[in-house]
Amino acid sequence: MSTTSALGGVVRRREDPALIQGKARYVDDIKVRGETSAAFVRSPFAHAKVLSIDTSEAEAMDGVIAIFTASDVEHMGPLAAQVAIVPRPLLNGDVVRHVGEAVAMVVATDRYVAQDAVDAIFVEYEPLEAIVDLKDAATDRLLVHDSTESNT
Amino acid sequence: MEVSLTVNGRNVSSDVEPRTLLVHLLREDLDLTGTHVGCESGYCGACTVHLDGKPVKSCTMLAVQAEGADITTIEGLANGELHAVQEGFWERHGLQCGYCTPGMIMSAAGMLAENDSPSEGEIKHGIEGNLCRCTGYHNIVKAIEYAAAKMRGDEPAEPEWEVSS
Repeated sequence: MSTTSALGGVVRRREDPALIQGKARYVDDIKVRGETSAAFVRSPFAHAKVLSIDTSEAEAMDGVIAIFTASDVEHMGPLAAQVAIVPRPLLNGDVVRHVGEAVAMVVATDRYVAQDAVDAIFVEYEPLEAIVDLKDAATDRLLVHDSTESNT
Repeated sequence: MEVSLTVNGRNVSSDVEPRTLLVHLLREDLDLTGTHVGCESGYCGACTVHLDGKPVKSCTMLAVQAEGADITTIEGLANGELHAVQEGFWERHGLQCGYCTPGMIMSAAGMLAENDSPSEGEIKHGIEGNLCRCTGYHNIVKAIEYAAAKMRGDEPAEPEWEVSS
């Protein structure tokens, strides 16, 4: 089993003993003194206009440190990891275009409090027609992004 | 709320909120970070531990539901040695990033404790509650077959890369 060459033999990975015994360290395993947790309010609609976001109840909760919505982060520009042609905002306060698009972020003392605060933020949406079929999307009868000429 | 249980052979007590998930008790209060949180919805199996010898998903259980239970996590599976399943994953390249691996290993070990001669189909069925996004499942099945042979006292099959070359 042992070999002095990387070729022609089986080379067991040196990183595996830690990984198979639960001794590896992933980012979520790192604890920092005084660390806080973030949780996101996400759209339940595939396509909707965001009419209003009420964060007042969440802001008053014990353990909530900060709540961010689109206008708080606009100056930071779009998402850095850009895979689409159309820039995507960090938080969307205008028109959400998929289920799960983030509209607000809560920072709190721990993950449970952050999630509680997410549940206490009330977003009013005006649902818009959604395209949920590839063939339908390819007809361009409804553009996902108004700033583009085609969905394809 | 006070919860008392046995974790990897050690008696532990912790004061938890009633809604605290078992996986958070393990990871945050007991610092056993080998048990991972993947989907937080019961699909991915990265959080699998043994409760009284049976695999359970610790992100879909409350810590207080484990009152009095005997929990084994990946850290306590073989206590410094390698369990046959751990050895199998190492020998048969059953992992890349390793994130799903503790859950995979705990599910496989639970399955092999009940049946040390599973067919390929039974192995696939046994890990269908565990998702891997790196290797695909081929080598994971081979790793579990290796472990099953070891546990029976048989010689594991030659690795495919030896057979086919």
